[in-house]
Amino acid sequence: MKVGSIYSASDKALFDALNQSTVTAADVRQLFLTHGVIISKSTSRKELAAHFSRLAHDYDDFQALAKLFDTGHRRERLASIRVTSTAVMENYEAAAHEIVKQLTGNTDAANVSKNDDGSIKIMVRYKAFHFNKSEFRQVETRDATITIEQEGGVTVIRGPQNEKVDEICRSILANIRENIDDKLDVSEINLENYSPQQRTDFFINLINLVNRYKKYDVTDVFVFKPKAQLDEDDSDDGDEGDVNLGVRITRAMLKGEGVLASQEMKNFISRGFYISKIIWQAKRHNEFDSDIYEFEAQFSEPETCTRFSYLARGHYKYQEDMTHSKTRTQLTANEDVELSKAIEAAARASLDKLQDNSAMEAKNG
Amino acid sequence: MAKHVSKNVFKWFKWELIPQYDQNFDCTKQEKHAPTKKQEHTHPVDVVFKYNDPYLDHSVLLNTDLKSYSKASITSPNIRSALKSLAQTIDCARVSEEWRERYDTTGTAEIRGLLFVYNHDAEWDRDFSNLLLPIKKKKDEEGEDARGLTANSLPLEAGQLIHIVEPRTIAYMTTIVADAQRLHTEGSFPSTNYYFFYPDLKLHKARGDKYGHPATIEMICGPFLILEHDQITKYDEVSKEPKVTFQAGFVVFYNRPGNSHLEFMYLFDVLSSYQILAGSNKLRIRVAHPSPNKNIRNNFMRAIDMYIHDWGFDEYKREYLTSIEFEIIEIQKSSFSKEELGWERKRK
Repeated sequence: MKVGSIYSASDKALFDALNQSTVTAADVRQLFLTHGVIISKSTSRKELAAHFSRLAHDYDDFQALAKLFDTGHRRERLASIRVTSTAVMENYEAAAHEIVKQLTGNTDAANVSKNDDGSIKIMVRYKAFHFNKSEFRQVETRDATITIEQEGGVTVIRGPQNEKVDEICRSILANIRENIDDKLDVSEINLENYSPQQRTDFFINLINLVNRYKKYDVTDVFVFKPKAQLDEDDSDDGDEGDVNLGVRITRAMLKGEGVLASQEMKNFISRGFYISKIIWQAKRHNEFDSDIYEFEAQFSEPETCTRFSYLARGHYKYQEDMTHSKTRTQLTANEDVELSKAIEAAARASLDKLQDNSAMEAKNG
Repeated sequence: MAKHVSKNVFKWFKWELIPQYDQNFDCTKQEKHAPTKKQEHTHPVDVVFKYNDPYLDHSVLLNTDLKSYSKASITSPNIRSALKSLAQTIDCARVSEEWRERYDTTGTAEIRGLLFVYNHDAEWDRDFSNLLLPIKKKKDEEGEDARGLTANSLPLEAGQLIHIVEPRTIAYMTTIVADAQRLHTEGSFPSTNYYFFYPDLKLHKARGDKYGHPATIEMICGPFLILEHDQITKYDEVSKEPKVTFQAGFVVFYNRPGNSHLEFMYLFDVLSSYQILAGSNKLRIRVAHPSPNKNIRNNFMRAIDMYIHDWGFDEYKREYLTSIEFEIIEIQKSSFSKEELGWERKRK
């Protein structure tokens, strides 16, 4: 079997798919109708599935079915790395072409384009495989866009946070290292060497530092306390007896309104937990009729506070009766880029603040 | 007119016509079908077609309603009322002794409805399925079936089906028949010794003699149909001997626009699973679509490249794929001109 190609569905796969409850009676009726058949609403599903499965079907039929099973893949969180090196954009462009050549040499579709502002865009379409699922859910086609641009003397590489993009970034850096600059410096946001309190402060500052957006509410907070640290604390305190009782909480999620100010939150923090993920809402500064925007930031490795990623989740539209829509709307592509950058900048600013404070403490201490 | 067209065309697809035209039969369910009618209710039968479905291994009888409409008459209400009447007709037909005696003496056939809509001015160019789109319902009517005419307002009983052959399908069929005749003249297609291809699937196996396989109504209305033929031999008038003019193979009539290479890659994979994408058989793909994509040929070529690439095929396979004859044939809007129509009328 060759990974990454299109497979036509067998009659058995069609039969199984049509028997799933995900496929509604209306869906089945429509499928038959595109083949010029009107079915009775009283005919059993099994009989209809058997009938459809023996017909010649085409890519459109396949797509129509696959779409029904597609859970609408969630937008992925973004991540970025900043590279300081002697390499210039032309070098990155050359590296990008090299990577694209490799990618298309495998089974992916990829291309490089250059934007008016001089940034480079690599677009990749690849397949994610889920072999534990049925034919129609097995292969998921995903798109990823990686941008490389200059920002104040450093090169920023941005893209969705996943293995595929990591692999592409690693290849780009390896290419630059090999051909241009073997001393390039890569910086990512990570709080590996910071205390639990500092990690919490990082998020609290972050949500207040998003340029032009004012924090409105914090709805979800994930707190974390690594196991090793738990043991340490327990042996230090010794009086709580958690270990003896076999109680050991390492992570918790608080959801609601005003979560950050809650007593529960304070309890967790006082017991050595720190924030590893936060979802908050914000409004535009000085706009009374602003939509409510929802953002998310997290460390994908909460134990070490590494692999930082973020996402502008969408917005709740302002309505005429002074309330906001109950359902979240997706952002336009432009808004998405703009807001993602704003979150990223806030994270940088928050990290700078921590570093300044640490430096100050070191100086004072 | 519709009778004339259907009779000539379906024969080529190896359908049998039961020679009993325009016979009504008595309704056996008058309370259900015509509760307000005082006199005896009857159902009309224009014609009944018959073929043996290779997968089902039984006869399918298509109780057919032949409609010949001008462009202006192809309307939603007309089509819907025809469908309703047809639904009642087939409901009755399967229990009517009168019907069985006329069309199904063995009593084992499956009875389905077929609405055949011929557009005699050949000006209809819209999407037929739009006629069957749900009529917007008022808010208080609920249930998911309220969204569709098809299952909701049609009195179709469990297990019963109605097939629709619309003007576009008729054009597709007449185009195929004309094309096959042209190929025959050219010496690359048999005049009668062709047969429709039914691969053995996982859940369904083809029965019966493959040389007798007809095109099922689903195949005709599907995205493509596959014909198989043996070596073509023609009588050479000069040498006065039979002469081989074309090798054995498959002809795929393709009824899709070819909008992307993926469409063809999918087709290749289907053909590959049918085990006909290799070997010594000649494969011809003939696109018979009313509006093929202007890049269809490029999309086809790209699909070959991508398919070879994806599967890491060798030169041998590439040679086979590039040897596929790919042709776009023009759809005949109507194979019967208005003069012919006049002739038909005069003869009556």
